[in-house]
Amino acid sequence: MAKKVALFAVVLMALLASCSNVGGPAVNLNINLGNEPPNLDQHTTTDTISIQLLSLVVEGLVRYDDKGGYMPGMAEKWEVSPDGTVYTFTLRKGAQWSNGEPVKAEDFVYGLRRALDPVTASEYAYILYPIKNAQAVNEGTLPVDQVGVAADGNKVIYTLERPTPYILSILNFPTAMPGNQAFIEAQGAEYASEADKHLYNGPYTIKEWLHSDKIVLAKNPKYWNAKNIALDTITGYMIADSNTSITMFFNKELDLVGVPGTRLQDFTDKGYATPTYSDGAVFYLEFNTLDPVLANAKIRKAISFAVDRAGFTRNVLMDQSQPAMSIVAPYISSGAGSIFRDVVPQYFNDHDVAAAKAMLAEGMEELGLTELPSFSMISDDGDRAKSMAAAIQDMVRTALGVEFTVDPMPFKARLQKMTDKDFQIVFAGWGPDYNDPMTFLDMWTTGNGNNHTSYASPAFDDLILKATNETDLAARLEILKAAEKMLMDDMPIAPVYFRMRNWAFQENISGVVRRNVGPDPDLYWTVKK
Amino acid sequence: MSLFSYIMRRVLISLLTVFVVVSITFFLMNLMPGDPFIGNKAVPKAIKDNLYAKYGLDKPLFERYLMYLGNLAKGDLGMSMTYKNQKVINVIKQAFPVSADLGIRSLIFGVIGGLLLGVIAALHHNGPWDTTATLLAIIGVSIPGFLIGTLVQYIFGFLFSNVIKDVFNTTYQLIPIARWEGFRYTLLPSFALGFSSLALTSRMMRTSMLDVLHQDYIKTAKSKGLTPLQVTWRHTIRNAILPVITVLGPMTAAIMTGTFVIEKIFAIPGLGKFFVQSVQMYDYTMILGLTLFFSTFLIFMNLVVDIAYGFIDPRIRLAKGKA
Amino acid sequence: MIMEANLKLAADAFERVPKDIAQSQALVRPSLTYWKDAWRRLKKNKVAMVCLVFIGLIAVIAIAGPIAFPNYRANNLEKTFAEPDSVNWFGTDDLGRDQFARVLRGGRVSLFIGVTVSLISLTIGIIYGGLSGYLGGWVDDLMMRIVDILITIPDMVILILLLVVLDPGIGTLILAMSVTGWTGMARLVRGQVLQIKEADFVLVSKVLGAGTFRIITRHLVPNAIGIIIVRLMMSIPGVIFSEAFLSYIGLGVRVPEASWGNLAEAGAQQFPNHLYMFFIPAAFIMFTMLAFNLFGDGLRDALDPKMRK
Repeated sequence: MAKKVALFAVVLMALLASCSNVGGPAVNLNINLGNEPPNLDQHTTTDTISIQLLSLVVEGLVRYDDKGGYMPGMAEKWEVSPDGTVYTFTLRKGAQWSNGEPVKAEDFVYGLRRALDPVTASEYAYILYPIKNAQAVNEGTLPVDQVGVAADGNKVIYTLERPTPYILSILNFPTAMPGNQAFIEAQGAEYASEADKHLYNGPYTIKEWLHSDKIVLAKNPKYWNAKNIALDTITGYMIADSNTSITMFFNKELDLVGVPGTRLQDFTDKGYATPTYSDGAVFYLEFNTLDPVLANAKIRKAISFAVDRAGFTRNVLMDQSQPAMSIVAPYISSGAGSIFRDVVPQYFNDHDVAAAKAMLAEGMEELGLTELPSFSMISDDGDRAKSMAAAIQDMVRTALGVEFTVDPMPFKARLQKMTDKDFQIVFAGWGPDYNDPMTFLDMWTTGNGNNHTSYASPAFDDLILKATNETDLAARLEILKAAEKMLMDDMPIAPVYFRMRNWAFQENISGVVRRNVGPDPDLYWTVKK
Repeated sequence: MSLFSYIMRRVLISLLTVFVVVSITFFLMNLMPGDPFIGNKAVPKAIKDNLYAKYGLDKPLFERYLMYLGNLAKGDLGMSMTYKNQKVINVIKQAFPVSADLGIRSLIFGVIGGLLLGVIAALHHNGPWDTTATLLAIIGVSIPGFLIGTLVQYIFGFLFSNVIKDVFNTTYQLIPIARWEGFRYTLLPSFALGFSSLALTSRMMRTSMLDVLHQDYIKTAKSKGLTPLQVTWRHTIRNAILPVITVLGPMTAAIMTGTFVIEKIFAIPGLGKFFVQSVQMYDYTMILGLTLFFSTFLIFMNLVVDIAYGFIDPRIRLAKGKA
Repeated sequence: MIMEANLKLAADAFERVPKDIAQSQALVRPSLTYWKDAWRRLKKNKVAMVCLVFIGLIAVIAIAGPIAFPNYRANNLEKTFAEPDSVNWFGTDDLGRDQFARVLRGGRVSLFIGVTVSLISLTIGIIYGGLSGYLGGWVDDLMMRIVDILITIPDMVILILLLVVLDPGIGTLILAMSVTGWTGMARLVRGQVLQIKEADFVLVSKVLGAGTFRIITRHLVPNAIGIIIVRLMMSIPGVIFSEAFLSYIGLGVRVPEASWGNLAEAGAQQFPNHLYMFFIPAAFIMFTMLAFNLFGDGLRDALDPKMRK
């Protein structure tokens, strides 16, 4: 709740301030992107840096507003058919690409077809699958012109496979954004590789792009809402070292900076506020249920109960991250007008050593073991990730006498091991794709590509299927609750914490919106005095 | 053998070496059980297949090898698999000049400073100058780069610059903390990077100088009545510098093709990060491109050094005069 | 010396030395063996001796320290980032682990890796380089061409590749660093063997009828081993450095193992806070490097047969 109030205050300040910057010197905001954006091609991109930048330079039909809803983008208005399967968007008049060509309904049709075309090989094409025939087109069984999108004058019409309540959030994703066919085809494989090999229709254009160094966005005068865009330029530096970026922030060379828990005190000492926001991510231990010992739910629970989550968040993360005794992140809507986590807070007690010992004894008896073999856990190789893994390792050893080895490895090596099911325990995390408990639950169904635990419960699969087809939102909530409970009873994953992040900004900055689904931070409303 | 035919022979051997290096790297890299397109979120198989087809990874290994060589012959290093719409050659073209710039600056600082320190130390053997120079040199090789980088960045970029700001009541950042925009920006990273080559060069130079000073021809030169300066310059340094020059090739290649640590700490857009990142991200085309570039550059530098050696070594000139 | 020819000398000032065939054949001073002589000269070098004592001390610490203070991995989340005090002499880290115990443990791990990798590289290098230099001809050409090629592949690519493919841990680190480390040693040994093979004093020895065994023990070993031992001494700090670099990019030892590299890296992450976490491991690395380097210098002077007086 505190977060919402803070957010609102920031926005209010922005609205008050947005009128003041007329005719003054050019205003430039300095931010740190942390790394080179790997791919600014809207139809194939997957990473958060590119998604954040794209939200400022390419605009879809709608965009996220500053209150968690949607506002018109390239579309002025939209209608939904009574059965919820046809969406008709009316485009805004006078919208232009940065080369002066109008943004047409055909650009949206081309964009969607390009994203789904097997030749494009877009990794996130699957999020468009709710659109009619999208999957068949992407798999190459239907020609691209069979996908359920059509242009009719200044109207774009989407036909869906079935009613999809979160379709606006999908159409807001870069993969669904428009593209200027002539321009993109002229650039070929190097489309979006340089500032002048890209076309813009958003609030900013890319003025300068020095790879791995900095990217400069300039306000787009042709943008429909240009009068409400306060910054003249945004300079995004690519500083990978967190200490360097913090020192630069203290030197006022950066206007915004992320603050790791271990550095919070420095910011407080220097008089900076360090607001907290949830990025929606949950971190957990995944157990490989194909492992002969970890196949036993009681052994898994014993390990889970032994973790001191409160101590972990307070003393290891040293920030406001919350202990997780459930899997759906806080702030995620229940889909029935409430916050899911408020309805069901938790399923077991944190750091319940007595219960953990009891579970271990029962589990070992079931397995006929007198001594537990040592486990191995894999984790990421960052400095913090290693500390986190060492903390969990020590907690389990202290509580249960169970030995862990921890193998830190690079991100992709860890993902490879998870995909190959070549692990016993892995410390991993998940961020939401859309604002619904389902984004945290349906991945644990049998055979799901994200279910590295090999957890296979027909009863759980059945609940997820029921929830997917249930149209009554209150009844659906009950099914989702049952599904989460079942997951925690079987515990193929042991939740550890819900991540909260801290950041700081210079005092003349306001109107930065942080969110857990969609581009973050969103600088659409940002003002610098 | 004329210089020209010597160089031609070396170039031919070098081309063969580069070819073998690329082939070894190609097959070694493909033994990695990694998928370059693996992501935090699983992707349906159909999409994976599309991706593999797009990058030609669906073809048998040997066919891919031939394809790679074919493209290589045309000067095409392929597209990066991490930076999806960037050509590998463009990444190298953009990042190498920055690394080379930083590298040359730190080499100028390191090598010239090192030679000077080495000479001073040797001429004042066992005196206080020798101790100072040796100590400085040894400290240089005794501290890992990330410690030096972190330390000088904070002390000079932050604390010292803030003192300057307070004293002169200005907002001018005398020594920037990070990034690469002009001369001021180059000071700290060049120092941090050059410190270890300074140490290495000065140690080598000192030993080599001491060695030469004990040689008979130095005694001869002295007894001929040459001034100490002439002895030092024409006889001692000329000869002592030779072993130092042989290590300059690999040192230059290593420093000019980017150093991960210093470039990361000072946010310099050089080549260093790609060496680490490409392997960690299974970016096959990038790994190959960088290996190819690095080995070619190293071989080239060694060739340059060998030719330079011929010009500096007095014995070689003597032989030419006789012929 | 020639000038002294004019001196007048009394004949009775001289005494006839009886002819002794056995003694005239010996070319060395029999009272001092090579090693005794080297040791005598090393002892005169105060800096080298101080360093030797320091290295000995570090070795004792690395072996005995972790036995006396075994608690390098126990967390104490109620006492994180504690400054050095009477309980935790070097303070505690981000998990409240005792830095003193971790530094001792780290010393063991770093030195173990440093010594093992150096010895492995040395062994491979001596065999490969020795063989190449001894056999000579086209075999030498081929073997050295292979080394040239291996040296041309960036070390970092091979190192990271191996560390990404194989399971992390001390064993993998040692393997990866040995794979990239032996080539330099092989070149050095080959160069030495070639040089000595051609040297005049070896020829003289041969002419005087010395056998292969005598040439190897009296000439090859004393002349080559000095440089090789010095190189070994210098290579240990190099390996410790590489380990520190690999820790920096996240490819170090397993959790919760400590090495000086990863302790210094963890300290650098906290910089400029908790400076004790930065400076204590950094000081251990630095002084150990210093000791190895200075001792290596001293040893080179002591072992060099040319320096015998």
